[in-house]
Amino acid sequence: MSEYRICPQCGERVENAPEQHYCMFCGSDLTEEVPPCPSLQAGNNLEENNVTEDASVWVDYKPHWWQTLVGIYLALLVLGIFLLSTFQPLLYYVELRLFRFTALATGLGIAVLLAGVRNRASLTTLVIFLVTDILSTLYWLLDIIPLMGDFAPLIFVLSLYLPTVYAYSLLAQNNEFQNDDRTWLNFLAVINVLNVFWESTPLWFNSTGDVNPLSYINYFNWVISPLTACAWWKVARSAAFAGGYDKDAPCDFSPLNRYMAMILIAPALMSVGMFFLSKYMYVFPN
Amino acid sequence: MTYKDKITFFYALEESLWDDKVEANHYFATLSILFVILAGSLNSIGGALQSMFDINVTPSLFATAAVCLYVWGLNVAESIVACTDGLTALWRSLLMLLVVALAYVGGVLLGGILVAIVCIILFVFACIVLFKMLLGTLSGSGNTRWKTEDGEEVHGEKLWGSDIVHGDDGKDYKIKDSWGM
Repeated sequence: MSEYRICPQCGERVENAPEQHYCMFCGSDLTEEVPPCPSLQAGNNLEENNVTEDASVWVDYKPHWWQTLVGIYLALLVLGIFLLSTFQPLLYYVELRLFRFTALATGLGIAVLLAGVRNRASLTTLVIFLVTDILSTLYWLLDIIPLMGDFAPLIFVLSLYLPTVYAYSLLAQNNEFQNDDRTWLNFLAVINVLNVFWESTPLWFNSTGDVNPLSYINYFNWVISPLTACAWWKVARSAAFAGGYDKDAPCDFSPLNRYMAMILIAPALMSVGMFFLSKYMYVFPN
Repeated sequence: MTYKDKITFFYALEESLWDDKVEANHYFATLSILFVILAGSLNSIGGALQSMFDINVTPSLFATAAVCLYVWGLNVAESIVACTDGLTALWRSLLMLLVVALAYVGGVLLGGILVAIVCIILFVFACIVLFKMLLGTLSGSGNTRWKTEDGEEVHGEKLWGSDIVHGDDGKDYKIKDSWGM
C-alpha cells in the first residue's frame, strides 16, 4: 500500500499492487501497464498535489480546532472520572454530587461537535446523544427512578439504551471512517452501551446476597478507560464532524444495519457473560 | 518478517481462511490475542510468586475471565461489522472464542515456562557460586587477602561459613562480610 496509480477509465486512485487487476470503482481492466503517479504517494496531502477529490472520501479532510478541543476534553473527562473513582483519597476534595453531571459534561463536548456535522445522520446522532445525556442527568438529579416503580428498568433502558444504540449505528452507517477509526468507534459504542446497561444494574440486579457485577468493572477500567479516552479523541476528530454540512446528502436512517446488529449483540453477549460469571463466581478459587 | 507483520499475524491467517469475505482491522484481533496471553501469564506468574514468596500480586481469576469475555465481545463486534455475511461473522466469532481460550491457556503455560526458566537460571547461578566457594575452601586457596572490619587488608586463611580470618601473623580478624570471596 505504498503507491497509487490513476485508472485510465474513471480517473479514480487505485492501489498500485500486482494483484489489483481491475479498478475497484469502475471495474475496468488494469492488466496492461499503467504508470504509477509519482505525486500520489500514500500519505501525501492531496490539496498540495492539486488533485480534485470527492469531499466524502476519507483521506481528504483536516480536523477543525474545535474537534481537537472536544477530543481532548472528552478524553480528559473519561480519564478524570476513572482516576477519581480509582484513587479514593482524591474523592475527599470532590463534591460527590458532581458525578451526577457526568452525562451532562459529556453532552457539553458533544454539543460543540454540532458545529461541524457533515450530514443529517451525524446531526441526528448528536441530537440523540444530547437528549439521552440530559435525560440521564434528569433521572439521577430529580430522583425520578424511584417514582417509576416496577417499570423503572424498562423505561430507563428504552429511553437511554435503545436511542444510544440507534445513534451509534446511524453514525457508523452514514459516515466514511478509516478502517482503524471505525474500530475505535465500535469500541466506543460497545463500551458506552455497556455503561448504559450497567448504569441500570441497581434497577434490575438484586444485589442483596449476590455480588454486584458492576463492582468488577473496576478491574478492567485500567485498560478500558485509556482506550475509551483514545476512542473519544479519534471519533471527535473523525470526518463525520469535520464540517461541510450537506443537507441533501443521501442518508440511510433504517435501523436494520450491521452496526445496529453489532451494537445490540456484542454488549448483550458481554453482559450475559458477566452476569453468569458473577452468578457462578464461587467456582473460582480466589 | 517486519514488526508490522508480527502484530498482524491473525489478520494474515484470517485472510487465508476467508480471503475477501472479511475486512477486519489488521491489528485488533492480534493485539487482543496478545493481551489475553499477557493476562494468562500474569495469572500464572502471580500464582508462582504467591506460592514461593507469599507475594499477593495475582489478578483474581474472576477478573481475568471477565477480561477474556470483554476481549471476545469486542472481537464479536469487529466480526459483525467486518464480515460480508452473517455466517462468516458467526464462524469468525466462534473462532475468536476458541482462539481467546487457547491464548489464555497459552499465556498460563508461557508464564509457567518463564517462571521455570528464571528458577533454573537462579538455581544454576547459585550452584556456580556455591561450587566455587566449596572448591576454594577445599583446595586451600582460601589463603588469600581479606578486607577486615577496620578497613585494613590482611593475608590469611578463612574457613567457609565463618567470618573470622586466621591471619598469617597469628591473629584473628573479623572480616567485613562473610560473602567476600
